[in-house]
Amino acid sequence: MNTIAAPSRKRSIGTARRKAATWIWKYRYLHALALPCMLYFLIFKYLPMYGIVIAFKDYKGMGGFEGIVHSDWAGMKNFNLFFHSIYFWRLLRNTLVLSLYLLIFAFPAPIILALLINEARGRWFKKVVQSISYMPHFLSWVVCAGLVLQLLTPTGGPVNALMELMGKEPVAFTSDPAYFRLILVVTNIWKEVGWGTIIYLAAMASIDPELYEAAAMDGARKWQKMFYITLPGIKEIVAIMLILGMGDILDGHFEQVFNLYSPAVYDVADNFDTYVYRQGLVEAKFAYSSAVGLFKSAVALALVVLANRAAKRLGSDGLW
Amino acid sequence: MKRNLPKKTRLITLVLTSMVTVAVLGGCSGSGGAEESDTASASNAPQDANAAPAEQPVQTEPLKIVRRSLGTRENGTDNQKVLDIIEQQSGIKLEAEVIPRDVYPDKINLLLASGEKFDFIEGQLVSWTALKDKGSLMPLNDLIDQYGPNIQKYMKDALEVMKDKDGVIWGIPRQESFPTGYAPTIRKDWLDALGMEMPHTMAEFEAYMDAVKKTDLNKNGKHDEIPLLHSWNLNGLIQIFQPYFMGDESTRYLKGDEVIPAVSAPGYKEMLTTFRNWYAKGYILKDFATINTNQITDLVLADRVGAYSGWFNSMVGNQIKLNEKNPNVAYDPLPPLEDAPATGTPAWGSNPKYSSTLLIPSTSKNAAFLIKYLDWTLASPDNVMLTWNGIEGENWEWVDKSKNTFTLLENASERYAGYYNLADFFDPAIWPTYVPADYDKPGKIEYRMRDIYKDYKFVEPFDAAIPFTLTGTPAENLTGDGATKIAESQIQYIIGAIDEAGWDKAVEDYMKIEGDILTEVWTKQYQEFKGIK
Amino acid sequence: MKQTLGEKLFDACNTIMLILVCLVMLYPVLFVFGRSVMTDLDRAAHPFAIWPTAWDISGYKYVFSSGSYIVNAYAITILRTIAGTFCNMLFTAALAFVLSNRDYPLRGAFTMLIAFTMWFGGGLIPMFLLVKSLGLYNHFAVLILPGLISAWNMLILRNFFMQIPQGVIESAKMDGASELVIFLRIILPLSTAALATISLFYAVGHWNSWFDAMIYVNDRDLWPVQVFLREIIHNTNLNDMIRSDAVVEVNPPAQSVIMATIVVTTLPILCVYPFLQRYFVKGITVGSIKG
Repeated sequence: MNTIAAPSRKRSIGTARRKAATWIWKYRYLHALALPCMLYFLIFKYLPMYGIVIAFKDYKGMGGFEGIVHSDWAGMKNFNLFFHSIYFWRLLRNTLVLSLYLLIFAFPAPIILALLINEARGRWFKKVVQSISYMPHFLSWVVCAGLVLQLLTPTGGPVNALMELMGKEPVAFTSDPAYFRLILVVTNIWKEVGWGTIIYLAAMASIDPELYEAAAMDGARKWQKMFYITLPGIKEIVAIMLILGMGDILDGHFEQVFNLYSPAVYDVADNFDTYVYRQGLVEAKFAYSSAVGLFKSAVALALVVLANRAAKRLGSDGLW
Repeated sequence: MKRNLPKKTRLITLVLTSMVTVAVLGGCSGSGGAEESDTASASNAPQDANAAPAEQPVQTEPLKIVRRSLGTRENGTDNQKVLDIIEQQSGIKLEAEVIPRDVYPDKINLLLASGEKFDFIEGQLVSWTALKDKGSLMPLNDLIDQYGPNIQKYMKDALEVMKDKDGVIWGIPRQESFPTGYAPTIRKDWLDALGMEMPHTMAEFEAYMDAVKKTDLNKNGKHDEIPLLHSWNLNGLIQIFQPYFMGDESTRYLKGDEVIPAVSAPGYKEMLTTFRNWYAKGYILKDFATINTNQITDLVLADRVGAYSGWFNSMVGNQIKLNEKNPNVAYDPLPPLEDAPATGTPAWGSNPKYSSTLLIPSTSKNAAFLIKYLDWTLASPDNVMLTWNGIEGENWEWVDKSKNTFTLLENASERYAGYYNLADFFDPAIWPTYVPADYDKPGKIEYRMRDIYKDYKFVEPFDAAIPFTLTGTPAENLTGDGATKIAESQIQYIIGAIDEAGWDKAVEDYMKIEGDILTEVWTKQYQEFKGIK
Repeated sequence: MKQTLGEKLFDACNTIMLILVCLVMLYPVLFVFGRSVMTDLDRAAHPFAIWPTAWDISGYKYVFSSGSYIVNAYAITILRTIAGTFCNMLFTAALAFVLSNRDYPLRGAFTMLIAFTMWFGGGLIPMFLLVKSLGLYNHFAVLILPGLISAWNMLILRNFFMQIPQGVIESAKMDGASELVIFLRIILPLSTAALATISLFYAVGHWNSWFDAMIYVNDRDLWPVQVFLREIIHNTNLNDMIRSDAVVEVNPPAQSVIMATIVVTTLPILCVYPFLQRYFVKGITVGSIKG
């Protein structure tokens, strides 16, 4: 078709329609597969989203759907209450510091463990190690916290017993702000490192075995194989996990902290999640906790977007 | 060449897709039914509580009781039998929905927020003042006038506790069976072993604790004895010792005609300083702030604990276990300490005599029947016993009917655990008294303890009956910062992380954040309340 | 190729390291299992032992004395786990596949819409109202539908799919295969490790979930095991001052009950997991290639 003269309007609508039709037809299988799934997101995720307005209202927690719609607008009142708390900066600081520590220590741990397991000899040995390493993941934090408290108690706990043997005074570790974050990080690693290896091992399993064989034939040593094949092979998954981890940066690890902390360590341990929990104990401050949740989500999303851009620039596929 | 899916794969895909579709549609088809029943019940004439008394309302649907779960006793084999008899005798139908205890307040809030129609809320697990402020509760004055002659007869004084400043009744009260909750217990056998008498003063009590710390009373070669253990972290100490130091047991303090926060009142600092000394001397655990109930039990059972401060009967079960190996072990009640400072009084703390037990949501349609049911329960001790303990002869029997005493038959509480008893009101005028049977070892110990406690002095919180509310006051928007400040400063002071000046500063900060506002609000409401009275 | 001394040393250290890791992981689990059958006095006397001096199964008796409810609850949990995971994987894999096609025009829009839901949501009350209006309240399907697709899992799976070499897909397309065929006969078979992983995540999620049942189901016959077990733990754990006076609580030791509960909930998963490991065989064989 000649494009010297601009096509007439009538013809371009027809073209557009035909283009749309071909486009729908071309990808018809993908559309069909995607449709029920996106329907799920529409119904169960997007329909209830009107609830976000609760954060901006004086919602009392009564009256069903009408109750939400007809509550008075409170503007930023709930957010202001939140930002003006004398503890706001402390809560923010504690949340970020814990996340930072976890990022530095707890994020690489499963990767390292996965590499070690991958390099280990003996099929049966590997299976057993894997199975055992998952076990702490299945214990709830209520149990784990209980175990930790028993281990560290100055009243007859083994750690303190050891210290006494060495001539030192017993220390109440879990009530001591100097040790508390360390305890949080170490217990987190212990509980989740095994489970975290699953996804990295799966990624390692997807690496083409021929790459290893070819490298072996070229004379590559164990180290070289690990650095030049295995690590790059899981690069994408590490990137994704890191990006998603960015979104968790304001996550307060409620179950863990709540079961281990006490007012003695509020200064280093109290974060948004535990604070809001104490606030809303029986009186269901829906609006207030909704506002805090919204704030956290907004910041988390912003961080994920940044992380995604950075990852893409470094060559990854990113999240989107 | 287009490759078609083999027939087998196509068939499987078809079957699986239809399975899933059916599952989804099956879920959705219920919505039609739900709508129908909604319109049907809406078209029923609402049970008008204000209808002329001559017109007796008829119950068209069972009462929806949302109660907390009783754990494994939910499956009492006699539950249905008892329910049948109750329905037969009272003429009222009930239906219970059960929620796990630890999430009860959350679920109730959710049900209320979503506009669910139900008829009963357990008053002890939620804050009725907060709910009434939100408009979630139904006022009961008219209903009680119309359908609750027995309620009026027995609960005349108790109902005052459930009224707001305008005289509106917001729930049904509960009467405590026993005017105490919080008192320490002490190892009698260790006192004897040390050659000491039961302490009557703080000095004597501290001397005991000191001796426990230094003597190997459990004869295991180690000095691992713990003089004083307590529950609920710091609250286990404060709630028990506050009356001794301050004359009352509450977060509020009555200073003349003013109501101020207890932390700023005389005696509070002295109390914390005493705990601080105990901590320094090792009378209380170094990790008292994080210890939980299970660890407490372990320590007690390890024969290491010299005294326990918490709910008065907490040690009964442990004592029975320890008795298996050593029949001399006894955790006996500690009498109130006589040398209380001028700011305090020689007494232990008590739960208020009346508290809330039964609330009706404002969305309820069958409130009249619930009140009628309650009224019927209070009509005679036999009715009380039926709802509370089950069937005479099968679950329980009278010990002396003229004195209104009874005992439980063995394993009765496994078969029926008071499932349909909606309101405890332990007024001996109507509510029978339990006499423990021989098989009931913990019951017998507790019975003996109560006998001792009845001679002790207890103080009730002065503010139990006063309807304080923050809604509509300058204190409405207070956040939890004040509570956090006090919570952490208290502990820091006790473990020695801050000194006395540090605590004073913390109280000062607290008063600035919320203490002064609360003082103003509470004082105003208190004076209004007393003015009416 | 012979191993250098350095490599042999590495292997030895690695093995020791992994054994240590196992011991550290294993101890707490054995701790819970072993102490669930100890008497209270035994536990108090030996704070760190994991083998009982005298056996005491009262904790288990208590847990199972809920009689038919626990057995029924197990059935619900198992049914929910199997049916739920199946539905999850069906939809998740389909969606992940669609979004892994780099030339699908709606790809960007859909991915963003889905990712958005990972951070923003209406909250509990609107969900509750929605469930009620869909008629799902108190219906078995409510244990499966609201959580049908986890955006997180789906994105992970999508990225696995995206890593499959394009060449294989291209040649299939040139042979005239439709996307459906590519999905079923190429992508899926090449992704068994990823599929098994994500299935495991979903399955464990179903097995451990209790909150949705607690909120959306009030019929005790439909409650999965976790709800009951939580109830038992909290009932024995709470210093319950709210009691009808004459009902004397004769519970077995709280610790026994709690530990028995934990064993009862985690043991099945620990037993099933090794069978899923068959699908991780690739990972295991790859590493065992001698260099």
